[in-house]
Amino acid sequence: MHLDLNTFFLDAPHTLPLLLALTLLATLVSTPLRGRASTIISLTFSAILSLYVLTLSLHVLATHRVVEIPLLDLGSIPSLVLVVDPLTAFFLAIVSIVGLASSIYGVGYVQRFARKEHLGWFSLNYVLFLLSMMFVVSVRDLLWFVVFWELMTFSSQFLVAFEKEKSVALRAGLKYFCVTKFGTELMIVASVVYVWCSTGSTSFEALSKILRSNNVVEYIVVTTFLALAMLIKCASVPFHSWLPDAHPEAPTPVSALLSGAMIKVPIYFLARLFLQLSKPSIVWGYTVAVLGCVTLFVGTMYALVQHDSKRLLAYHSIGQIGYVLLALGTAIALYASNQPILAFAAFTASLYHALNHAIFKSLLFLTAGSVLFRTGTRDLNVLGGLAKRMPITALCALIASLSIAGVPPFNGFASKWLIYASTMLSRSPLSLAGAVAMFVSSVTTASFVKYFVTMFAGRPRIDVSRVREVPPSMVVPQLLLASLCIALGIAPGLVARASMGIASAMDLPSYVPRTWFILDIPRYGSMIVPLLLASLISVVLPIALIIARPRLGVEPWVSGALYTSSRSMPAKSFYRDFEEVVHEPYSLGEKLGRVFFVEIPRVALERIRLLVHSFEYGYASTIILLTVCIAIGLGVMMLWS
Amino acid sequence: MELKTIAAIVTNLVFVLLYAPLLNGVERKIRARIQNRLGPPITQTFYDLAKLFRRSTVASSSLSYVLASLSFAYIIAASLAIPTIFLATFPRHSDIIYILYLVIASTVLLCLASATSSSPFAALGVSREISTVMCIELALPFLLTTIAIHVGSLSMKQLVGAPFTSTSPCVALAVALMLPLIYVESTYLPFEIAEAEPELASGIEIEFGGRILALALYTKLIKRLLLVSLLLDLAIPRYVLGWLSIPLYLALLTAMSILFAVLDTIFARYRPEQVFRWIKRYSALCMGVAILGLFAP
Repeated sequence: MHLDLNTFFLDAPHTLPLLLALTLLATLVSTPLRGRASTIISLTFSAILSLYVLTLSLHVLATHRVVEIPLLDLGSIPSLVLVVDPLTAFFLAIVSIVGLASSIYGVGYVQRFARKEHLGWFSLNYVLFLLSMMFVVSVRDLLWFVVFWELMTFSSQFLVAFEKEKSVALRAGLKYFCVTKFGTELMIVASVVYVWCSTGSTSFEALSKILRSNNVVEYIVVTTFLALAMLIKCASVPFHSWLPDAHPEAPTPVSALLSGAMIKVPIYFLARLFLQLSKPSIVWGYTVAVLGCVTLFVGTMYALVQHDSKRLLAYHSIGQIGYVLLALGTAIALYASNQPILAFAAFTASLYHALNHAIFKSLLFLTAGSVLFRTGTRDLNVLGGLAKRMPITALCALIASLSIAGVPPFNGFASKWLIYASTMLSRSPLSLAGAVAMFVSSVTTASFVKYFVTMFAGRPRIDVSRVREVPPSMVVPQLLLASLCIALGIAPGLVARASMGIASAMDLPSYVPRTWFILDIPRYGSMIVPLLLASLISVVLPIALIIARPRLGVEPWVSGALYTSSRSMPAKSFYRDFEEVVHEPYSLGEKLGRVFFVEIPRVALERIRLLVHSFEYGYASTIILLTVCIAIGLGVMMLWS
Repeated sequence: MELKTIAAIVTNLVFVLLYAPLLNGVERKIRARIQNRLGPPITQTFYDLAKLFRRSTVASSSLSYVLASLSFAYIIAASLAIPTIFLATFPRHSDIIYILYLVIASTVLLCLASATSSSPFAALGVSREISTVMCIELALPFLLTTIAIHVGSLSMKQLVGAPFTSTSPCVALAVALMLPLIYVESTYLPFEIAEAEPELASGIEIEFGGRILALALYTKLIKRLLLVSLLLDLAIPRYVLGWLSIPLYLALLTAMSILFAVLDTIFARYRPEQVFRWIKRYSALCMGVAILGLFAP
């Protein structure tokens, strides 16, 4: 039977709603089931849906067509229409790649929770979380945007706090909910109230009309509220404290979705907000870039001192989102200051790094999850020697580590190179931010040397004699993501071409990339061709392998003493000398953390407790205070408008 | 690619493969003469490498020889990307960040290979080596930024002889400030903390034997030559000097090697925290130059 791709995708308005309905129906029907059956049903449908959305996104990116999918017409309430333009398609691709891998992986992984937790509840929230992310980047109405944003927050916080016997997970879920809820309230004020009161509509066009009018106050209020909401959700410093608690505590497929996909959703909206809905502004460009620079520095420096595998990865998510913010901020600032070539390079860098981070970070979470699945621990101080017992997981962890470290020709290198080049060549204070980003990349490398070595090399301090490779359903998604790390590294022009289509659709200046295999910045004479390096290594490596092949394996020499696991270096000691010398970020962070997250909340909570006796727990009081503040704010705004 | 260019790239590679051990021989001779010893012949490193290559490899059973081989492959890729005897490079538009990443990748992969041996001495050496790389990266990007701002490119084609093509004195200052960093990265005393023979019994190399050890040593020697070559490429106006630049490059490369050998003999090894503290202070200077470079004409 001949399948016409064009007909298939042109029929998306019928195919996608059908798939969505089937996924939701299957999930709702299977929710009452406590066992694995519910997860198998809903995750299978999630994987199929992700695959369809991925192919649809790639089709839109290749053809630059805009696909509109009407879903609901509710009369007086704005209609729910999904609009897949190139920018949406790019972020849909991110969500669906991570969604596909996590869904396949999750089928095997949830065995950990069998008979302990209600897996139907997990499945329901998982599907709602995945769907809400897809909807958030596809709607063109602020009302629906807020609705799906809230759904995304609700479902994901239930997933973070899924393991109910773990008080750490419950606290992490609550903290995540409270902090990101605050961001949502800001967004509600800015969009639903302010935009609606001013224009009588909540569409993106209405928002754009406000932002492009000459009213500076309106522009500042709306952009500040919306940008703050986005920065909180993507865990930019100083709003990052929820992420290192929430991401590690979630079940691994959810951690992958949170770090790989969810924190890219605010990046999507920031790009749309500052590059399409409003004129690029130098002030906002610098603000986002500086926040990005601080975020990448703080996140990565703190990642270096972690020795819980998933917590280390969570801190790196903060660091890597800093890279994306730096590139996006640079693009906004350079578009505003009329440097279109470097601006487009920075814009491409932000999209490219967002995609790369989604791939290698979700892969890293899956590898950490595999180790947790088999050993039951995330403590890098006691793990070790797993490369022989879990060879495929070790290989995938190595590829992901080299990718995030920016080793050429893996995908992380190409996007980082574009970030450095676009910032350093800008001849502005952003150049210094590029230098900081380059230093931080070496810290990332160091952190992942520790991650890989302490997990897969050396000797373990726990019994791993019964540890074996994870089942094929958990290996396949890891291999899929590892292949993407290599493919996107040697063909950077693919992303550059997609970025060109996105920029054209957003009416931004761009340039045509030379080929799929070259990443370049014309007029500045800078380019890289990772494929050439890959070819060269594939020639030199076999020769070196033939030369170096070992003939005799022996026990390592330990001054003549018997080699025991207690002699291997624990993760906490790995960079102790460096941490003692470069102590300033940690001591400053500790002081600021004590003031902002201990002293001020303590005083505030004490005051609130006095006022609200019926609530024992501090966070609940905080929510009430926030709600009151927001209600007052709303009243003031409505009177003003 | 033209035949002439291919011939130039191959010549560069052969030069790097042959001259790196020879320079090490010269350094050993200089070191011996300063210590009132006769010392080995300058070709001794060739004999040492040949001996190791003839031996079969005895290594820790868990050691990854794939990672050690990858490290060598990366340094070979770096040696093709850096102009040495001739200015031709592979790829044609070689980029300074790409080059630095290749060199760092080679170091990191060797560290990973060493760590897979499970030796606690190797782990300590790896931790020190990677910490040193982090410290160097605290300073080097600021110098690169200064150069990039004024030259307007990261391509080696335009960076060759940067202080002469740019009118800003900051570029010359940035190139000059790179010298100590290259000395530190080349792991000479007092900064040689990752191998630290008396303390860590060769650290990173402790579990390497036979051919793997030969590859690791060869990688280190090539890395030293390449780092100095990179600095000389930035410092010498090679496009202007034409053929004259080749003897000048060779003379300066040998002179730097001799200087490094002399310094290596004079100093005693620092403790790790002393090394990190020294580079941290130095990076403050580099940051100052970058800020100056941003506002300087």
